[in-house]
Amino acid sequence: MPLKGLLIAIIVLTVTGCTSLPAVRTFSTQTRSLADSIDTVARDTSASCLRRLALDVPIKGLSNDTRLAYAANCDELKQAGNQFIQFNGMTRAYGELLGQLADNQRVFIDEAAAKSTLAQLNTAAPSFNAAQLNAVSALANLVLRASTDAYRRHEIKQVLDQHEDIVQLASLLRSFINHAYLPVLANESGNLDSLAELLSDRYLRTEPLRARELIESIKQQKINLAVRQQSANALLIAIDAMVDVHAALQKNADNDKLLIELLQDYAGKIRQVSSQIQSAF
Amino acid sequence: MAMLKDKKLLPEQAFEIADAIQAAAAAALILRRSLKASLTDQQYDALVSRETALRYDADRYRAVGITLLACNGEITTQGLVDAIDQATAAINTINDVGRILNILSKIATLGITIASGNAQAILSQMSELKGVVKANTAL
Repeated sequence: MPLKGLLIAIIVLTVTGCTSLPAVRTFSTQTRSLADSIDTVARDTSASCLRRLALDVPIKGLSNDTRLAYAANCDELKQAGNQFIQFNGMTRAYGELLGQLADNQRVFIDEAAAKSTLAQLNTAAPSFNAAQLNAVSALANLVLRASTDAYRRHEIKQVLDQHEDIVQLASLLRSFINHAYLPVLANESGNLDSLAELLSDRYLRTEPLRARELIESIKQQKINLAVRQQSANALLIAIDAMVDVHAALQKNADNDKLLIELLQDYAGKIRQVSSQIQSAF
Repeated sequence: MAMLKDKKLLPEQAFEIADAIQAAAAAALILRRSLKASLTDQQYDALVSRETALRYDADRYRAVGITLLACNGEITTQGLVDAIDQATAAINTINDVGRILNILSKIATLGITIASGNAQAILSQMSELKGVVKANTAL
C-alpha cells in the first residue's frame, strides 16, 4: 500500500464525530465575554446602592448612624453580588473548557515535538536512519493529531450533552438580571426622582444655584441609568442566543448554515453588550 | 444573615418581598408628590425618611434573593460542574506525555513495518495502533 494511501486510511480510521471545532472555539470566546459582562453587572448591583447613598447623605442630611446602617445594607448587596460572581464563574469555566478542548495549539503536540520524542525512542533502541525518522515522525504527528482530534470531539460532545444544565444556568442568569439587577436600577432611578423633587420643593428657593446644579447632575445620572438598563436588556438577549447556539452545537449542526447564522447572531449580540457596557460602566 | 437559615425561603420569594417593599417606597413618593401642598414640614420629612428606609430595606431582601439564587444555582447545575471536571481531566489525559509516548512507540513500530513493505504486517500493525490510540486517549 502506498504511504499516502496508508496515511489517508489512518485519518479515516481515527477521526470520528462531527462537532465543528471552529464553531466551538467561537462559542467559547463569546461565552467567556458574556460571563465577563455578567460579572460587570453583578458588581454594579451594590455600586448602585452606594451611588444612592452618596446622594442621600448630603441631600437628605442623613445622620452618621443612619448612613452606616444603610452602608451595611449596600455591603450585604456587595457580598451577595460576589457570591453570584462566583457562581457565574461556572459560565466562564464552561466557555474556557470548550475552548481548551477545541484549541489546536493547546492539545496537539507539533511535528517538531513528535520528532524529538521519536529521537529519544530511537536513542533507546536505534531502528531508523534519518530519512526513516523524518517519515515516521511526520506519520506520528499525523496520527496523534487525528487521534486527539477525534478524542477531543468526543469529549466536546459529552460536554455539549449537558444542554439541560445550560438551559438551567441561563435561566438563573436571567433571573439575576430580571429580579435583582434591573429592580436595583429601578430603585436608584426612583430615588433620583425623589431627590429631584425634594431639591425642587425644599432648596430651589433657599439655595437655587446649588439646587439647580444637583438637579442637573441627577438628570445626567438618570441618562446613565437608562444606558445601564439597556445593557442589562441586551445581556438578556445574549443569554438567549447562548442557549440557541449551544442547542445547535449539540445537534452536530456542523457546517450547517443555521449554526453559522446563529454564531454570527450571538457574536453581534455579545459585541453590542460589550460596547454598551464599555460606555455605561 | 439570619433569614438564610430558613431553608424554605426561595429566591423568588425573597425577590417578591423586595419588590413589595420597593413598591411601598414608590408609593411614599407618589403620596408626597400628591399631598405636598397640604403637608407640614414634619410630615414631609417623615415621608422622605420612610421612603428612604424602604429603599434600603428592599436592598437587604434583594441581597438575600441573590444569595439564595447563587446557592440554588450551585445545586441545580451540579451536573454541569461534574461534566466540566470530567472534561478537564480528559484534557490532562491528552497532555499526558507518557500516553503520547505509548502511541509514538507503536507508530515507530508501524514505521518499521511500512519500510518492510509487508502489506499484511502493515494492516496488522495499523489495527494494533488503533487499539493503542484508543487505550491512551481514554480516561
